[in-house]
Amino acid sequence: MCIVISSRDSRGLRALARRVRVLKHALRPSVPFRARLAIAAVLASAAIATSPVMAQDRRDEQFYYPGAFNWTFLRSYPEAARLFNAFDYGHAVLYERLYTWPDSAAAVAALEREYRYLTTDLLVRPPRFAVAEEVIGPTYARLAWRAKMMFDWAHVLHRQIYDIYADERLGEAEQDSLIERVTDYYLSNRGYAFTVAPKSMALMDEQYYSQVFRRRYPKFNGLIWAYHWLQVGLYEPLIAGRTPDGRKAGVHAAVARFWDMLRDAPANMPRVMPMTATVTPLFTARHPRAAAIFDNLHMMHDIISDILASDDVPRNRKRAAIYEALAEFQNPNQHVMSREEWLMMGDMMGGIDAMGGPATGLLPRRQPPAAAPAHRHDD
Amino acid sequence: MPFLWRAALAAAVLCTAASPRGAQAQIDYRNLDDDRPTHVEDAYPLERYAFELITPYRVVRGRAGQTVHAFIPEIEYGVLRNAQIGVKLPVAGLDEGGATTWGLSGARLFALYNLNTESRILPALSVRSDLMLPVGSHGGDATRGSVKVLATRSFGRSRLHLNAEYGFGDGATALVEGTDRWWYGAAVDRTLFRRSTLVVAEVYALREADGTPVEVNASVGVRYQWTPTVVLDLGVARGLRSDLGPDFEFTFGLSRAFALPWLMPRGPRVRTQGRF
Repeated sequence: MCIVISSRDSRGLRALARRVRVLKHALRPSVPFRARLAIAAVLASAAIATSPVMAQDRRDEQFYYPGAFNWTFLRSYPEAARLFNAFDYGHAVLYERLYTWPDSAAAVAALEREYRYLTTDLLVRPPRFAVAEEVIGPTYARLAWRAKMMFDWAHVLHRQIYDIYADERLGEAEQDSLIERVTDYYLSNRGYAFTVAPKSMALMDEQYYSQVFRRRYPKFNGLIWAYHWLQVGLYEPLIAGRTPDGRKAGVHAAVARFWDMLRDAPANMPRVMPMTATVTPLFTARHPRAAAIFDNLHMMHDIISDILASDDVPRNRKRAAIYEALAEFQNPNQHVMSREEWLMMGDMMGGIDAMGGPATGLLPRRQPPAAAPAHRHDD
Repeated sequence: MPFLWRAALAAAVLCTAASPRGAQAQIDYRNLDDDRPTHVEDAYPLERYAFELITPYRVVRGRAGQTVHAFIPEIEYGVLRNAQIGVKLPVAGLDEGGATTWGLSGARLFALYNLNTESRILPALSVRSDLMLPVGSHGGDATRGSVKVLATRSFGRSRLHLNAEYGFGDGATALVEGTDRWWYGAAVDRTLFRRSTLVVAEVYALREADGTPVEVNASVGVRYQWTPTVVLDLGVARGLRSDLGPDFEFTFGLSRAFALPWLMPRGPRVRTQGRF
């Protein structure tokens, strides 16, 4: 048998031989035993963690774009900003329960408990700061770290845009320019950014696993869509309000509308996924890239719910199915809508009323309910 | 004003004043840095592009009655994806019999590289290397180095951290932030997510130099997200073996993460195939 060694193989063999020489030198008997042990531990850790067989995700966390505008929304609109911290919990616990309770009857009961906890306690008294989602969903985070990272990164963009709009020191032109800059920065993290091309709704609604979650858990699904309505809807009063008081009143009314959606659930909840262009036309006209990113983000949220809930996706395929969908949502070259199709999509899906209603021109109606101590978690 | 309060005030002022204007920090009460407040740290590095300025104070009462005060300002930077570098410049005051001698206690340069995030099978794993330079009157007389392996595994809202370090070189080491011949330890933390608080406890063993007895120490601490930009930590420690390790140790610190705009990538403006 003849083995042909290419120059690439030859380079690899030389590198391997070099590493073996270094290793032999480092582990020679004259080096103290504990030092050899330490070196061996370091090398073993590196070898295990970088082995392709283990299919390891990297941590890959990246800091957000700095600026004086950061955290302004939390300071100026704490009642709205803190709700997003509870939303983080809601997303994380949903995926954790769907993945760790494969028996659907048990999952229904578990999610019903979480729904009560969320709507009667956590949303009523939300945490001051963001919730680390890997604390709430450790099993899911280990399963699909990349998905968690892509969501986190898009949520940072969401939050920074609120902060920019909430910063009364910035003029309108400065706000628009800054939003484009933070969007550029978001996109510069290519490994974790959703594409700015609006992806086809078929990716969410016409796959073999599609729509399982919304059929099986209509109330929790409605809660997620209500989250997404508020997440994009808050931009509209911040743009439309002509004075600081007007903006505050508009945000207050949008938050009140969110609480209204939770009344008699799921009757008042969105019946289809809220589309950014439909709920926030002013924001979409100014920042179409960010608007498309948020639609892609929200579609991907629903897709992961379906993959985790669907019995048609075997448990040992769930990670692969999620990662395939993530790759699709980073690809701007296939399964995309034109700008015109995207702008019309909301009407084709039933219009603004099916998506939770408009985010401006609202009168405050409902206040958050009092917390129900019986549903409180320890922490 | 008591010394402890003056120290706290100085740390707070330094942490706030040293942060560049316009920069903000991130919520990081779960980032368990070494000595903040436990010896054991987690296996995760700082985020890419982030700086973290840490201004801690520590007081240690030894078994022989001596007291050591230490301010250990530290700056870390997420220099690459999953990698951080940093420098510590500890200032120590040794109080023996009423007279306190102050001086720089060496300079510590370090780098940490995270190999992977936690997966279904593996814990998160990192390697860290430190270089201690004998700078200042309390800085020892030899350049020393160390290498450390770190692992973190979560169990629901709790995490287990394991650290093991081996120190290289001989000669007198620094009074604080010195190099031990070896040490290893384990810590368990628990996240109280509604309060943005981390509580942590640890046990670790160390041998300061070849031939010295093995210390076994324990500590407990807490990290609290004070504002969106500042984390407060507190910890107490004690030696578990008689006549070895600290009689009592108390530490507190403030840390603030921020970034500098001119070090951030802008990224090309991405257009959507001419559609937008």
